[in-house]
Amino acid sequence: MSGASVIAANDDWGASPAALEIQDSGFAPGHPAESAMVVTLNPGAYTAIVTGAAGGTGVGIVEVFGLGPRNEAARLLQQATWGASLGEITRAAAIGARAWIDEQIAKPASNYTAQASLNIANNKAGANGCTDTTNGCPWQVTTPTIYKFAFEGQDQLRQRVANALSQIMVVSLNNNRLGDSGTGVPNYLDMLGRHAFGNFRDLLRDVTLHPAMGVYLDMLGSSHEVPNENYARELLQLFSIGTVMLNADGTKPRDAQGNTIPTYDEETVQGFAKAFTGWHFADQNMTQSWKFYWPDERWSVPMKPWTARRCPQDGRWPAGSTTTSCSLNDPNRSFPPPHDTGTKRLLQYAGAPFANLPAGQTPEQDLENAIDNIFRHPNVGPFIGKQLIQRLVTSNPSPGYVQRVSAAFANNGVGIRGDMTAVVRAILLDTEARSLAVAGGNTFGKLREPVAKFLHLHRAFSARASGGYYDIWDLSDPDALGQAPMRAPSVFNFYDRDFAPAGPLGQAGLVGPEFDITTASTVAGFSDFSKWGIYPGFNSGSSDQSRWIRPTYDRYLAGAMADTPAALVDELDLLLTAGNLKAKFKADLVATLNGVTRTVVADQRNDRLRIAIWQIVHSAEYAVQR
Amino acid sequence: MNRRHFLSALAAFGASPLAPSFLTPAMAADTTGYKALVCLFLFGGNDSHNMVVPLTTAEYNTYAAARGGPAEANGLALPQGSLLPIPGGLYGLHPAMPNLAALCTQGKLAIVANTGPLLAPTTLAQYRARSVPLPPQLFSHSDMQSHWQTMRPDAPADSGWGGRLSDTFGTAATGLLPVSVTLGGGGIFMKGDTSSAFQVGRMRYANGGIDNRNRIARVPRADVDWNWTGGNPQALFVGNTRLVRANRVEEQWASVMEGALDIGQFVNDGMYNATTVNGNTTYSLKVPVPGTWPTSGNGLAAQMHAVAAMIAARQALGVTRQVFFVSVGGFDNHGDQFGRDATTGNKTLLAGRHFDLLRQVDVALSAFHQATVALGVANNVTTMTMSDFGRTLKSNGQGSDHGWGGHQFVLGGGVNGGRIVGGFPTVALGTASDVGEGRLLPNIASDTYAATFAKWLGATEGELDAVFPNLSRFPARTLTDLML
Repeated sequence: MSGASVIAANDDWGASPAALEIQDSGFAPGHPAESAMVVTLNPGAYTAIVTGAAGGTGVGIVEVFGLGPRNEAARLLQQATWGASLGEITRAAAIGARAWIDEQIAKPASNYTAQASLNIANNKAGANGCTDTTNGCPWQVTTPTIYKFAFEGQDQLRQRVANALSQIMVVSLNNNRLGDSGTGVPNYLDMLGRHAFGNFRDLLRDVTLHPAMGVYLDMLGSSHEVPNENYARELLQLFSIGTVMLNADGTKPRDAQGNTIPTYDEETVQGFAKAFTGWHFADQNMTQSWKFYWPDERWSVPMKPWTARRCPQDGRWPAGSTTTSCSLNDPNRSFPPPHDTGTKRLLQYAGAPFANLPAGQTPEQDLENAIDNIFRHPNVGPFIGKQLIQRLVTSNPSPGYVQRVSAAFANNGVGIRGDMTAVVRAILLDTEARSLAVAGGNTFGKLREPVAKFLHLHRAFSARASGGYYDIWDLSDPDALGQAPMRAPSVFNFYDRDFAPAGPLGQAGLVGPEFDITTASTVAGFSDFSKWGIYPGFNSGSSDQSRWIRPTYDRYLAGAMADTPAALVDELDLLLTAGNLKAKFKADLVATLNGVTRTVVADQRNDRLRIAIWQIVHSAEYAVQR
Repeated sequence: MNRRHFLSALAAFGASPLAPSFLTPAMAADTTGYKALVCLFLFGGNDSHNMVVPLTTAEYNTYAAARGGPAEANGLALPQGSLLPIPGGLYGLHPAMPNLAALCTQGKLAIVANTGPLLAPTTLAQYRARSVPLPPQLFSHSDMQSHWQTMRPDAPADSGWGGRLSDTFGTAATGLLPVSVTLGGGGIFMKGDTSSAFQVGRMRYANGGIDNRNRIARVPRADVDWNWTGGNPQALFVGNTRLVRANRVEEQWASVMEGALDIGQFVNDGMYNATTVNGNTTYSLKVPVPGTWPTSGNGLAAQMHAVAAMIAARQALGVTRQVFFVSVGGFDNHGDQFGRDATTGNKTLLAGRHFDLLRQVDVALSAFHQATVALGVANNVTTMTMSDFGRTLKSNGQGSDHGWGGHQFVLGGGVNGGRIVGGFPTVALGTASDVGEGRLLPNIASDTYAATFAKWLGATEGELDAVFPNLSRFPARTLTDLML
C-alpha cells in the first residue's frame, strides 16, 4: 500500500499472471498457495499488509527483494542469450550481470552429439517422417537439434559464445558430406561449446583436428605428395591472426611507407600445409590401404594420423610413374605414410615459438608446435576479441574496448593466456557493454542477425514444442528468415566482417557486418515470414501438434494487460527492445491498438497483441541491439 | 581520358582508329540508348584452365602433363576428344559448355585469356624479386575477390567498381531505381561512394513455369491477410520507419526498410500486373520473358531470368543504364573436382562438381542471351565473368589449389567474339608465367578487362580513371587496345 491506496494484492501466486516471472526470478515461495508479487515502485515509503486467507491465523513473514533495473538486465540478455522471458529478465535483474555470467559459466553444456544420435535412432524407428530405417535420415537431425537447445537449453551464454566462434571458425551444413554426416556438425558444436569457457589454444587444436573441419577445408587426407593448402590458409587468415599485423587495440600498424604489415606469405601457408599433412578419420584399419580413400567416417572423434603405407587411389599411379602394381611391403611399389617429414617454415615474429620445424617430427609434434606458433602470435587477442565483441555487443567497439579484451586474452589475471572465461567476462562486463550512457551514443549497437531475431521472438514468450522435437527446416531462403544456423554459404561466414554498407553507417566510417545480408529483398521477405513464422509460433505444418512451437501469450490475452494497450506496449518494449522504443512510436502504437476493435473480445485481444508484436519486430529498435 | 594516357596507349600498341573494337556499338560516351552490363562472379576460384584448353596435339599433351594426366591417374586433364572446338581450331571449351561453344562460333562469345589482379605490369623475375608492388595476400579468396570487386586493393575496401561506375551515371540514367541491381551477394562490388544497389530476388518456379506468387521485388506490408478492424497498421509502420534516428546503426536499418518500401513498390508496379478475384490477388509479368529456361536445379538461370525480366520492363522502370550482379558459388574445388563415371565408377572429369557448375553457367548464359535476342536488346546487353583466381595447374590428387591468372568469358550481341583476346599462356609448369605449382602470372590486368565494360557503358576517360584508379599503370586501357 502507498498511503491509503492498494498498489497490488495477491493470494495463490502460482495462479497469478506473474507466476512464470516469479518462478524464473528465483524468489518463488515454496508453495503455490502462498502470496508473491512483482511490483515496480518509485522511491518512497510503502506498507505491506498480511492477512490470512478466509480469516485464518498463523505466522506471517514478509520478505522484500530488490530487483535491479529490468531494462539493463534485458540488455544483458539480448547480448548474452537467444532471447529472454520476463521471468529470466527479472532473475538477471535480481542477481546482477556478474553473478548471472558466473551462473551461466557453471551451467553444463547441452549435448548436441547425444541429441543428434537420439534423433537418428528415433528416425530409424520411423519417427519424424523418416523412412530411411538403415541410416535414420542423418541429413535432417542437426537443425532440429540446434533449435532444441536454443529454445530449451539453460546454457544460453555458452551457446551464444559458441555461435560467435562458429562464425569465425566456420563449417557448414551446406557441404554435402557434413550435411549428410548426422553427427559431424553437432559434435563440432559440442567442441566449440566446451572451449567457449575453456582455453583458446585447446580450441585451435581441436578445431584443427575435428573431422568436420578436416572434411570442410580438406585437411583430412592431405598428404605430403601435394599438401592441401586450404585449411592452412584459412586457419591463419580467418581463424586466428588475419592477414595484417594488429596492435592490441585492433588498429593496424603501418610501415614507413604507410602500408599495413602482412602477417605471413605464401611460403608460410605452405609450411603449415606441410605440417598438417597425414591426418585422417580416427580408427581406420590401416592394413587396408584403400581405407585411406574410402574411410570409415568417424565424426565424433578427433582425427588421427595415418601411419601406414598406402596404395594409390583406385590402383592408379600418377602420370609418368613406371610402377604398375602395389605392394605395401615394398617402398618402391607403394606410397609412404602421408605426413611430410621435411622442415617447415611457420610464422616468423618476435618471440615466436616453433618458427621453423625441424625435419623428422611426428604428425602430432608438428601439429602441436604449429598450434603454439599461432597461439602466441600477438594478433590473436585483438583479432578474435574484436570479432567476439562484434557478435555479442556492438559492431564498432572503441580501440580501448578491444584493448581491454585483448589484455584479458593475454593474461586472465593469474598469468594464463587464452582463458576464454576471462575474455567473455571482459566483453560483457566492460563499461562499454554495460553503460547506458554509451549505449545511448550514436555509433553504438549492432544489427541483430536473423536467427537471433527469430529466436528472441519465441523465447520472450517461453515458446516450446511440447514434444521436444523442434521441426524447423532450412530457413536460409530470403523469403523465409534469410539465415539458418551452421549453414553459412562459405568459410567466409554469412557476412563480411568488414562490411560497411552504403548509407548512414558507411558514411560515418563504420562497419555493420550483418547488413551484408540485409537488403530490401530480405526485409520484405521477413515481413511476410514473420506473419506465419513468428506470431503464432513457428509451425512446420506437421499434423503432429506436439511439434508446433507455441509461445505462451496468456499474460497478454487475459487479465489487466489484455485491455490496456499502454501497459501491453510498455511490457513488450522491455521484452523485445530492452526499453528502447521511441516514445512517439509507443504513443502511436497505443493509439492504433486502441482503434483495433472486434466484436468478440478474445479476437480483439488477439489482434491487438499480434499487431503490437509485428510492429515492434519491424522497428529499427528491435532490429538493432543497443 | 587525359592526353598523356591516350598517347601512351598509342605508343604501346600502335592502335589506330581502324583497329576493331572489342565491343560495339563503338565506345563513345553515350548515355542515350539503353545499355546493361551483367557481371557474373564465379565464387571460389574457377578452374578456368579447364574451361578453355589447347586442342592441337602437341599443346594438348603439354597441358595434360601439367595437369598431372587424366582423372584415372588423379590428374585434371580433360580428355582431348571431349573438348568443344572454337573458331580457329586451336582451342576447345570444356565439354559441359556446348551452348557457349556454339555462341562462340557465332561470334557472340569472346574469351579473355589469363587476366587477373595486378598492381603493375609484372614479369616472373620482378615477381620473384618483389621489385614491383604485388596485390596484397595473393592467392587468398577474400583478398582477390576484393581486388576483382573494388579494383583498388591498395586502399581501404570501402566501395566497388560496379558501385562507382553506377555513381558516374547518377540519377540521369534512372528514376527511382538505382543503376546497380544485385541478385544477391556482391556487397562491396555494388557499393558506390554515393549510390547503393537495389536487391531483387531470383525467379521462382512451380509446375514447370514461373511462380509469380514469389515476385522478384515486393513491399513490406503490415496488414495483409489479417482480419483486423480499425486502425492503420501500415501507416504506423511506415511512419515509424521514417522517423529520423540519431543512432547510425538504427538509421542504416531504417534506410534499408525505406528502400524496400519505396523502390520495392516502384519495381513491383513497373513489372507486375495485379489481378484480384474474390479477394485473392495474383501477379503476372507485364512483359513476359521469352525463351526456354530451366525450371529447376539451375540457380544461376533463376537469377539471369530475373535480370531478363527487369530488362524487359526497362521502359516502365525508366532506366537507360543498368549494372547487374549475379553469382554462383562452389568453385573452390580443392577436394572434390572429380566425379564418378555412372557405369564404371571410375574417377572422371566428365561429371562432378566442376562439370556441373560449368554446365549450369552454360545453360543459364545461353538462355539469357537468347532472351535478349528475342527482346531485341542483344546488342545492348553484355555479360562478363569474374572469379577469385585461376587455380594451380598442378593437381593435388583431388582437385586444385588457389592460383592467380585465369580466363574469362564475355557474351553479348555487341561482342567482337569468336576469338581469344590476349596471348593464351603456355599451359605448362615452369614457364615464364608460372610463379609456382602452375599459378599463372596474369597477362592482362583485371583493371583493363573491367574498364572495357565501363567504357562501353558510357564512362568518359576521366571517369574510367576515377572508377579504376590503377588503370593508368597498365599499357592497355581496354581490351580494344589488345585487338590484333
